[in-house]
Amino acid sequence: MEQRQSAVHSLIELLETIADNKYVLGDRLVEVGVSGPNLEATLASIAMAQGELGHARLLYNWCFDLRGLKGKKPEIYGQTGKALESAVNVHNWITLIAALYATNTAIDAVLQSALDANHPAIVSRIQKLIREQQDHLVYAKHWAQQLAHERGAVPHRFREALNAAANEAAAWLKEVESKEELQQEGYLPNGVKLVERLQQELKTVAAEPFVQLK
Amino acid sequence: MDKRNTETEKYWQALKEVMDPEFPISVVDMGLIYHIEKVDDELHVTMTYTAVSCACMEWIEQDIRDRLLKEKGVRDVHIHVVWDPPWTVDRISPEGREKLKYWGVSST
Repeated sequence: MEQRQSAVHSLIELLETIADNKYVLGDRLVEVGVSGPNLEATLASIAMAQGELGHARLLYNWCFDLRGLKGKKPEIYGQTGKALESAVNVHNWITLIAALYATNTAIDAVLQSALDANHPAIVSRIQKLIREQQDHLVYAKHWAQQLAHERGAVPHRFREALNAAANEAAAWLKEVESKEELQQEGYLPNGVKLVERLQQELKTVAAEPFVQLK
Repeated sequence: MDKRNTETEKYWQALKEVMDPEFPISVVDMGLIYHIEKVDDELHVTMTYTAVSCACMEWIEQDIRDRLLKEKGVRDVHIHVVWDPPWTVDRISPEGREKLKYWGVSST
């Protein structure tokens, strides 16, 4: 019983961390994305902002249910303080793409692993979200590749931003991997390799090693 | 899903009058309604949305409630939103596809 409670507590923390990141990214996709490099990028950014905020809402509401609370779901006025710094500190297009790509890739690693674990209560809640998230990942990845191969100072600045965001995301994933109760309760597969999943994906941004995880 | 029987058929028909706010297609033809069950004088509607970020959720749910409460013998309506199976365009009815086509919207 105690182990189950501990697992639910960790699950809430995990979901809330994902929700916080999506909430912040949704906000940044509007604030920074509105002045994107071209009209298509801007329109897509605003559309994805709605998607990210919707995902955040779904996850916050799920946490509400997991806490055993009843009644009308509360309005959401801000994150709970668990968002990654690289997402919070997005201030231009380069840091936006770096945070969007690294953070959502890390989130995807967690959610895809949860799908692999096949816990019915989890799968039924995340199927749709994961499908929608794939579009955001394709967008972020293509922009990441474009910025990595730009001319002038952009590739260097992007590499710095992506490395910072990726390392922060990897540290978070390492922490999630270490929570044995999530695996024992079947929320994540036993011996889940989240950092490895992140690393594999980040390798595809450029031919040479562009991201180095510490 | 889509379990319709003689007892609940009239509610499915009633919901054909509830339109999606973005297109003149009912929530039934959009494939948003998965199941309707009547327990005593209460209806339980299991439904989904086209996207997790649908901005019209509360609006649609209120429209569904308002319409079903007009039915005789219905005292309360409970809406359960689910995301599994995920909605895809395959859920749009042939009638819905025709309407989308008329409005120049692809449903493939």
